[in-house]
Amino acid sequence: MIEVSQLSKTYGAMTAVDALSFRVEPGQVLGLVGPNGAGKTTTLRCLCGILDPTSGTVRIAGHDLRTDGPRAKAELAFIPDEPELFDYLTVEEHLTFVGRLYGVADVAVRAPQLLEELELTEKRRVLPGELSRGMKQKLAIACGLLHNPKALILDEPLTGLDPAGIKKMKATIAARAREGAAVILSSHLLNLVEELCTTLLVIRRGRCVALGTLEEIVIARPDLAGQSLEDIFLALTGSDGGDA
Amino acid sequence: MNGKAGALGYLILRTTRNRIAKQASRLRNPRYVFALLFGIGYLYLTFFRRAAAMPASTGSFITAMHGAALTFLAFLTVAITWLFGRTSGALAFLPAEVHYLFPGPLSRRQLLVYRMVRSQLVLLLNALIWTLLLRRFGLTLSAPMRFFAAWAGFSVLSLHQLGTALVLAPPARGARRIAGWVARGLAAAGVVALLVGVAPLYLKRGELDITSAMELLGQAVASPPISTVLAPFHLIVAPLLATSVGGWLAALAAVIGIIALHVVWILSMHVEFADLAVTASAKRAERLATMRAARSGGAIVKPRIGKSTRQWLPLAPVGHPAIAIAWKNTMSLIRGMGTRTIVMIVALVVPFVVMSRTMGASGGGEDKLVGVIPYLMILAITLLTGPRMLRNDLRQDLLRLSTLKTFPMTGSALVAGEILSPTLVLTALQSLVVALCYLTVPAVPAAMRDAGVPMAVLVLVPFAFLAWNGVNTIIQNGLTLMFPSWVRLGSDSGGVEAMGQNLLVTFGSMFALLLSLLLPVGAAVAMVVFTRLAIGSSALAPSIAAGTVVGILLLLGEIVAMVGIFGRTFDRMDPTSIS
Repeated sequence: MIEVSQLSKTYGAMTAVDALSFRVEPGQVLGLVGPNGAGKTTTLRCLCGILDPTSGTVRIAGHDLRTDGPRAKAELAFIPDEPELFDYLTVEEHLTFVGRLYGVADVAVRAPQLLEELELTEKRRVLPGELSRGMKQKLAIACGLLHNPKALILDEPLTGLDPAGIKKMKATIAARAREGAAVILSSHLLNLVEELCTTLLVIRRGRCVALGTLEEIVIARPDLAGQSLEDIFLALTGSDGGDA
Repeated sequence: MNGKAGALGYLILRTTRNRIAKQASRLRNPRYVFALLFGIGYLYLTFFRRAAAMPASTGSFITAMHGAALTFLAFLTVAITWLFGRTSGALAFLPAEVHYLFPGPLSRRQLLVYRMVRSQLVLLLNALIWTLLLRRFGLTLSAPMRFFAAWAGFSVLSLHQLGTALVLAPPARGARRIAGWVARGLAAAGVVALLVGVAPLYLKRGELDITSAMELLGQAVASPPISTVLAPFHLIVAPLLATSVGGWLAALAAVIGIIALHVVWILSMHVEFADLAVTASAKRAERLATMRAARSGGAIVKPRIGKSTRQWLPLAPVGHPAIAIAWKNTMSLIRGMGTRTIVMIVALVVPFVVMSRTMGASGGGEDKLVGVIPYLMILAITLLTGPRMLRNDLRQDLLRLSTLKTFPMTGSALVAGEILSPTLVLTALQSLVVALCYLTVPAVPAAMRDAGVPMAVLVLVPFAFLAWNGVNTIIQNGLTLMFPSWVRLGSDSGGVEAMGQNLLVTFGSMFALLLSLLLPVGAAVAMVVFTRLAIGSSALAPSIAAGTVVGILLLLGEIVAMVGIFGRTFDRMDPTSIS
């Protein structure tokens, strides 16, 4: 479970995230959407411990991220839009390394399975420099899934993936949720959000403008009834696309 | 045509202006101003003050020698270009240029003109630097005259490289292929002629001091066959050597004529260079990335695509995560170095061992101990500069701070894991040197026996190295964490202020090291004195051993304390602080 309470992040006079509060229960997939500069990435980076929130709390599987960081992070996986890999570790060594970090005792069994699942087996002994953009993304995904995280945070997870990879990634996200992981998915691909997410969090200029299932959002804004998600999104965030 | 030329001109002018403005805007930050002043001061003291202190050249010999040297350098540059195809990325474009200009509605000729004009920015900057450096060499030349002379010389060499790249561009067929081989033949003949001319000098080397050698070299350069070979290259440097305004004008006119000929030569070649340019651009981008990685503390050698990626070190699946960090960094070090580097290190160590044995064998009695000098040199170098040079720690990893922050471990554990790899690698290396010294210099065990020092004392040596390297490495990492903006972490900006920053960080780390040594060294000395007084003055070894143990323990205590402090710094660190 992911619990966020009054989360704020400011940079000097600029407020990037403004008092966000929400919960993602096990099995739920929360879609985090908003225009460019709305504060999505800052929010995600606060949720996974990359950035310290200015105020508010984040709890991952019951562990406070600020006071019990290592335990909270041990239950979490963050898959960024731009895969960050170590230049000098091969594909399988990345999994060995991550397995040790998270204490995955059966890494020798799980790593080959994940590599096979993500079609990286043939590339297991090559360095990231030899991988295509999509393969790098797949490796980052494999590293994130290796320790069976209870909380999964994904920032534009389909970037760089081929159609087969996209299909597999969608299935993987859905499967993880079914297995009880709390998932947060940030994406500009509204069809992906509509397809996978059980709830939506729409933010603009760091503030929550809508939170709930699509039906709940429409009930709160009857004028949006019958409109497509794209139109609902534009109406909630302002047709100018946002400038926060 | 005008529209396209205008667009290209706009690109050059705006990017240049914005680049300068970006550099200048950094000076709003006092840190950069301070670093810039420090860098300028260092450059002044290192180069310009020394140049100013040089005696003014008074005779034609000095000028002739400088002329000979410059002419020779010009020849060498051109010969290497032809013989080895070293065109230094003459056809390299920036990635954005490849992206926008190559698919754009521009002719091959327009692209070449753009490339030539853009390279002028670098050439003008080089000319400016050399105008300052050469100010005492050409007495009769004013600064503007030196500037134009240097610019003209650099321009010829740059254009020649571009022309060479086009001539040698694959697939070379017909007349271009023949021209390439003829040029290569001429370059090779020139090199042979030079060797023949300089050979007598080499044969007389035992009888010559430097001045007479230079005199002979000057004579050799001034007489056939060398003078004939170098004559065209003398033209290129002639403006720098002019002794009158008239002579300078005439020489410069000749060089400008050569520049014009080169431009005509380049534009008249009908060579499809797109593939070559794209390859050269990719190589250039790769080279820059490697340089930035090296500057930022990353491994100096880039990952070698397609080479063996055998896993040298096993890693158990469970255990303290700090070990995983140390494992990752050690793998990075091994991969970064590669077999070639390891062979080079061995090739450097073997002569040291041979030298040591030779020195030891030639000495008599106590002089046999001179054999330890090469080993002491290696130890001194690795102890003092090792932790600064071996940067497979936070100095490499901090660029991935976002990833590090997601790791399920405390900041202290992460810092401990980061410093472990360089500390252990250096300690192993230094211990190996001591073992080699003990085994290959027979005088060492003998001297230890004579002094009553038991061999068991040697057990302390690796611990002492471990403590020293640990303190030194954590200071380097601590500075990186405390002042991330002061330590280069892959920022693409360079310049004098960056050099100033590096110098300040070096001095800062040396100062911190001295401070951290105060207490352990003081306590160790006190312990030696105390045990000598307590045990008596007969046995020195136990006192030194006791003092060493105290020193090591205190150093290890300092390391633990610093790991805690810097771990908390890491926990508080924000990725946005890295700029």
